[in-house]
Amino acid sequence: MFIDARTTTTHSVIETDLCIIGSGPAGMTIAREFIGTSVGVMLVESGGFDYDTITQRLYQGENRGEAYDPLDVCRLRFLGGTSNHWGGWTRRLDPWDFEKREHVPHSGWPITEQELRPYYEDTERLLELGKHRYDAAYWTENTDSNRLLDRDNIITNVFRLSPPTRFRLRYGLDIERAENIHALMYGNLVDFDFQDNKEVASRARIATQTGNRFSIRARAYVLACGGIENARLLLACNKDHAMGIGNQNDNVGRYFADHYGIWGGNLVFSGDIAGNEFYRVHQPRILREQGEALQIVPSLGLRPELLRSAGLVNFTNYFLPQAEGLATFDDRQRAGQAADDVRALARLVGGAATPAPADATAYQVITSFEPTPNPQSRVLLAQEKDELGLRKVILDWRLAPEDEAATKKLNQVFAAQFGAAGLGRMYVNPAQMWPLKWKDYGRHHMGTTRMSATPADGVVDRDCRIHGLRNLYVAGSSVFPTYGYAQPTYTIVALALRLAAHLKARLEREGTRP
Amino acid sequence: MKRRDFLALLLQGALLAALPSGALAAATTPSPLRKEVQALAAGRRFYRRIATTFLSRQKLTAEQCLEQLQQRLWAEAPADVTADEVARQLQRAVKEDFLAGDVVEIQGWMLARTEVLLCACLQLQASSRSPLPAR
Repeated sequence: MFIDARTTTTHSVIETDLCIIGSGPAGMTIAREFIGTSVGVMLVESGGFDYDTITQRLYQGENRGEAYDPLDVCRLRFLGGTSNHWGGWTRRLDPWDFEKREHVPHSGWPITEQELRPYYEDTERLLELGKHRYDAAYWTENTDSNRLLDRDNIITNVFRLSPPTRFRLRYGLDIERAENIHALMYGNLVDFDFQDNKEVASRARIATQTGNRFSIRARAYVLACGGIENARLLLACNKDHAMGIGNQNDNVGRYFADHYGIWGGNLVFSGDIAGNEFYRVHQPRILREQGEALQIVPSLGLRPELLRSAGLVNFTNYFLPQAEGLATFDDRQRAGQAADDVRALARLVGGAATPAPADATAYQVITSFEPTPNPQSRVLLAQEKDELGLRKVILDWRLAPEDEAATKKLNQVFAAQFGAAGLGRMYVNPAQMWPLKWKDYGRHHMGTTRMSATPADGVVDRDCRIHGLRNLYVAGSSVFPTYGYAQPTYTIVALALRLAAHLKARLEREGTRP
Repeated sequence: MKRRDFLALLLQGALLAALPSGALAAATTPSPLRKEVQALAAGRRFYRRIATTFLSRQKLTAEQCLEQLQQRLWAEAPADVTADEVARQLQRAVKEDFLAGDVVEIQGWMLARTEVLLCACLQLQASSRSPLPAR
């Protein structure tokens, strides 16, 4: 059921078992897992049921690093959180995204991909993805355009598009009907109280923009406010932890990352695969037949063994017909014209490039790759405070120095493998890639409360519990220590399901509150 | 017209000098092939550009160029060679170049060294006598 925090008596204390701050995909997923259990849940949401500028202004902050969206634009602060403007792209992280790789500084998760697998089926149900798969072979068996290009070291990476799921609309009613779940609307976390040992959070202090102040006493707390706000709140809620909660090793707010796509070059497919429609955003036959309004986007990458041996970060390449370019460079235009020349070359050399049809198209390559974790890329606190008395946020997004070499190298290797596989030829100009004249970013806020095996290397442990604390957890992509190239929502939900399972076991083991 | 025939036709002019005497028939253009050859000739400007760019970086005579290309196709030149075999060896050499990272960047395009050498050979050959009909 829903409660309006603005009607809550000041100085009152609400008792519950589990207090979840934030009702986006992570927070709402965890809350839903407790429906029908004996565990009482308080789901605290800063906003209401729709966008409003009064609540949204609490997200205002300063961008100090890379050019970025205003911080009150790239996030949403009402029921369902940022799922309300989610684009719907999904993909699992690859198993090797979880591995520590020597050529990717600060890489590696303390858990394996296998540990998330038990939660994938429910994740796909929650994200309304239907009963389908990610492997490319499955889709080529179920589409009209059977053009799988997996050859030699080239592999197909498929993205599946959710409707997209708006958690507010899709699951809001579940929350309203659940007797043991209370969604506290218009409530904002402004601090935590801790017991004397400072290891146990004893209450969350809540404030409304209308002046009500009260607290929630729970057995466990989950912070699920997004990759920027999670860090900001841990740093700003410093009454009992002077450096910020979980920040004894100065890791909170560091390693901020977003996925960004770059123009990776141009290419011409060999004649027999020119005009390939499979590698476009499309609705395969099976989805049409089943009446599912879903789409897929296949893209091309390299085998993990080659990524490892060549010292490359993980990445994938999308293709856009030249005419559909998102941005224009003179050189890109020239590259498009040169495509005619490459088709001439295709006629010259057999096998690797069979005679191309006259209407063969040059494609732009959009490269999406895993950013290198960068401790200098940070969420910080400003001196200025918001209307609730919390210091405002500063985002100092910095690309890792390693990213330049990584982006220049990966498409040179890809171009060679693309040619070796007989798929065509690729135009790559590293000199034009950096500094980045064109990039687009995903508004995926990751890494600021990273998961680590030890407190020295991160903020939360393998259970998403803040190192050194007993009952305060973090959910969302802020816990990602390495980011892959896949959009984070899928993994956010899978991790939330995993955290919910952990909390269920723990809270049931410890018994209900007195 | 099959690709391998096409390739054989193309290569006659370029490879003739490098192969043992009598390995390939003299270059002729039978009338049914004229259309394909003309299509090929349309790309000649680009082959020239590849060749010119490459040869500006690496000074090669026609003989050196052909020798390098031949070595990529056969460790030891066979006494007899078919168009089919030429096509096979070219495909193999191009693939091996890419896998070995033996790639030449020409105006941004990442090309296998073998195919760049082939263009250079044709260009150098053309400077003495044109292997392709004029448009």
